[in-house]
Amino acid sequence: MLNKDELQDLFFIQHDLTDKLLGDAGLRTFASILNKNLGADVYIYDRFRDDLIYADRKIKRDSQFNKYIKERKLKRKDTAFKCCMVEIFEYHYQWQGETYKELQLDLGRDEIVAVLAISNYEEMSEYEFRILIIVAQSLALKIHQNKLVSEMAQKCSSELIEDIINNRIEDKSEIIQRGQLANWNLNLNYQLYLISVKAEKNISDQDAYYFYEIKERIMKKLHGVLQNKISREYILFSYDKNIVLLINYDKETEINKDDIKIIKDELTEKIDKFYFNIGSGIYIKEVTEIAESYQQASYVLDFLEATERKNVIYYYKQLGIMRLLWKINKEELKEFTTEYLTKLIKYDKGNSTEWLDTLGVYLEEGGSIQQAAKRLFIHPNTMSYRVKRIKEILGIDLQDQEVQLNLLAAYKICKYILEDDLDI
Amino acid sequence: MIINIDCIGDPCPIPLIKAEKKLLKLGVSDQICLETDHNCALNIVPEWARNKGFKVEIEETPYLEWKIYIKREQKKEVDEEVVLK
Repeated sequence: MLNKDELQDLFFIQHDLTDKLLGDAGLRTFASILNKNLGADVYIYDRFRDDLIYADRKIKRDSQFNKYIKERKLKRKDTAFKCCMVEIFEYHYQWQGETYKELQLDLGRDEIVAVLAISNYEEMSEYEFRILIIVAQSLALKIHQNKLVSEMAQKCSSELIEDIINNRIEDKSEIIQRGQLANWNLNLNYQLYLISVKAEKNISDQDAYYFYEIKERIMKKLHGVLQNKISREYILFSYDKNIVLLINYDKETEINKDDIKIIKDELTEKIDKFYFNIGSGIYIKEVTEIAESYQQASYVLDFLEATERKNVIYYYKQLGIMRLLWKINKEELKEFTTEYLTKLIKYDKGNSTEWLDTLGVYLEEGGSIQQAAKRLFIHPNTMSYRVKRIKEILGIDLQDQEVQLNLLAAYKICKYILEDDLDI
Repeated sequence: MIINIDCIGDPCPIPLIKAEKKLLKLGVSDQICLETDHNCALNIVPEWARNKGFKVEIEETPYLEWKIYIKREQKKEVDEEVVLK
């Protein structure tokens, strides 16, 4: 039981915390109350327990801390204190042959905003545990508040994003000014990358919340990599289902493809059960070019998805003839494709076959039975048989180079531009 | 007098809003020391303060935090109305 003095102290601390909340204090101010009253070190994790929201200076100065966080192994978890629907756990970790103890508690109840961790502490009394709980409540409020502000700032920039991506820019200087409010320097030159995040098929129902929260987590990771490993000015935002990243390179010749590779490698290494494709558009010399570059990168992503590629970085320039085809009127493209592929598509529909793809792979492999069979995981004899039948169905000579060229173009249009929407 | 503003953990635009509030009451010999670990505040706060006629200095600490010092330019009076805008 707490004595009268302790109860009074708790009351004063609670008052002090309210004043600090109303006085716009930052996380350090709240953490310092724990430092002072518990003589312990404080750090705060995000709810995925893999990113630091706050750490005492003493912890930040310790070069081994990040290593400790990554490598430590949980040995035991006990309830240290429980009251008012709050449970404080004592975690026992093993790292480099030593045992480390930490007290941890969730910040927030229904919605956990973060995890508060206390290290380097002596045995604690009920009074000290109660201090920990009331400070944790203020920290939860503060972090929740910060989250709301972030979301609001994100909402404000959403309108700007819509205008930029859809090229609704009447006055260039006005958009640059609006960019400044979102802390984006739209006066610089950028290379645009569009990052798609897709779950691997074997993702389980239990991981559904991951899928829901994954973008936020990835955005955080991206900020970390960009700040610590790339060190260039950048603009990062989420749009539609993808993430848009603009990295500043003053000249096109300065573009370092290793930068985006570092980013992709970091994502694939750190985020399990998801794969990332990255499409890139033209180099941007002014804000009005972002829309075009975005469209191109978006097209690259469609292409990568249609060709079932994973964890690939692909540049619009690499698309070859497809760059020209996707600019043509869709009705004309439909007409062209129908002329060359109708018979085969009808055959596929009537026989539940997928020989259009067989033809496509065969043509993409330059007419090599062996290579095409390998890509389709079928025996070369099966491949030969199918090619023979396709020739018969279409009534064409597949050795004729012009026929090959037209068929390949028709196939690519059908797959990557019309996305099989041919009304046949 | 140094007025400390703790912005550790604060996302943008909170550091700017906090700085704005304090700058309105900044005395001639006062100085603001805004501590942040959010590098976006490193552009937006100094730029805003300089545009309003304040003198800004940035100090980087060894633990990925920054101190932004803001004070009035000497011999240059800042019109309170300008600040209020």
